[in-house]
Amino acid sequence: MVKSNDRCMIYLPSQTYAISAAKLLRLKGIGASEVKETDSKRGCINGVAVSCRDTAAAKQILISYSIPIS
Amino acid sequence: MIYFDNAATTFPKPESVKAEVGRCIDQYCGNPGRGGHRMSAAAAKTVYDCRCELAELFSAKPESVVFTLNTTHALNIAIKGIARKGDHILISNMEHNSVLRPIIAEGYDYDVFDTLKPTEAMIREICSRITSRTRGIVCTHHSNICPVGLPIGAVGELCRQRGLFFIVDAAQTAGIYPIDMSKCNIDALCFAGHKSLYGIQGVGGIVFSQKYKGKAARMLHTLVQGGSGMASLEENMPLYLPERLEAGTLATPAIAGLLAGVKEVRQRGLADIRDHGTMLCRRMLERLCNDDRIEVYCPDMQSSEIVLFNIKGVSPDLVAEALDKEGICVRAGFHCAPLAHRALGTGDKGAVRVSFGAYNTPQEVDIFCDTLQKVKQGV
Repeated sequence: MVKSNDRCMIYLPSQTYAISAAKLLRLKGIGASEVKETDSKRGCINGVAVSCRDTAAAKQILISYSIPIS
Repeated sequence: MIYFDNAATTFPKPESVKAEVGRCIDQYCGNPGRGGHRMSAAAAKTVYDCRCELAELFSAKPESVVFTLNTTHALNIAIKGIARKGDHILISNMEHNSVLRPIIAEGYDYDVFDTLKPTEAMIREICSRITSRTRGIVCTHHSNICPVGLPIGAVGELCRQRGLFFIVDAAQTAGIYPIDMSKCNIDALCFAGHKSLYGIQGVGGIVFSQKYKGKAARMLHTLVQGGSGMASLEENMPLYLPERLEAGTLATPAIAGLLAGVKEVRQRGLADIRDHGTMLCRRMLERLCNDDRIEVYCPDMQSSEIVLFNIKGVSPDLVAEALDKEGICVRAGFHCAPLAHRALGTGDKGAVRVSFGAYNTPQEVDIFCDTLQKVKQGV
């Protein structure tokens, strides 16, 4: 889901996973940060924003660490 | 005042714990997982940091750390979450009521194995009690009343070989003994935040094995259902840990304190804390064991933080009351552990328990022993 021109959202099952994913992606050099969720169905942070350029790499890292992506 | 009731809850708490609880209440006590605003996010970050710290302590994953109110709550969630109706479960004769009562209340068939014997003999007895309906073993890592510890590595290996689940009550050992979840084949490790991890009352937890990672957590029955801060439109609890088992608001200030407590314990070192307890224990036993009027239970097992005794012919509650009048806090009675008291033969009144913490001193042990002499003559 594109949040802005250059940022993409990767959704995780929960806030715990979102914080975990953001921490992991930062460690791996992908500047992910937790963002305020705007989807009213969710109502809390459970997405990480990454650069559109990095989305595929970010997803690959999360999958390799068995972090589920919604 | 001398506080020797650390097996019930540790006192005093480290300054860093008190400071972090206060800082949380003052500065960032939003509701974790219940919003995207900065207060909620700051609370969630601290909760996650605490999961990470505990995961490192027990060689587990942060997402596998589930917060509860206390160890009893944790054991109820773990036992009822993993076991199924009709299961046969093995427990030890050192179990606390937090293991025994849920098993009886749920109607599981159970057998008790004896821990007051060498490890090999204990394992043989466990093997002999395994039936075709046996699904798991639930046992304490260390008794809450006496210096009996269980070889969880050997029991865990047996569970692995026989395909049994393994739930461990680490209320008395988390923060004192190193515990490696995967090496010991533990499926669920239940701990208290307010005992040897030096947090405040109001938080405990369960650390689950990787068997329950991802959607595999759906195998766990939920004891409590409610708000989870995610998947709000779905009728059922989330499939993933930790949220699947964390219905309702977490005790954020207590978790913040626990984070500081775990850091404190890891900084001092588990071995140092353990050696300190053993030193105090031996010092006390040297005095008590030389007194004909005092009966010490398991006096040969001196690697512990607990001393259990009776003054012969005197009700333990009278001894505890007399000590309290002298400014010494100990606990008398059955300590929520009827199986263990029966195994030790403490009779119909139980015994007096002394339990040490990281901040007790040898001088306090000496004062206790001198005071007990006075109490002995008075009661």
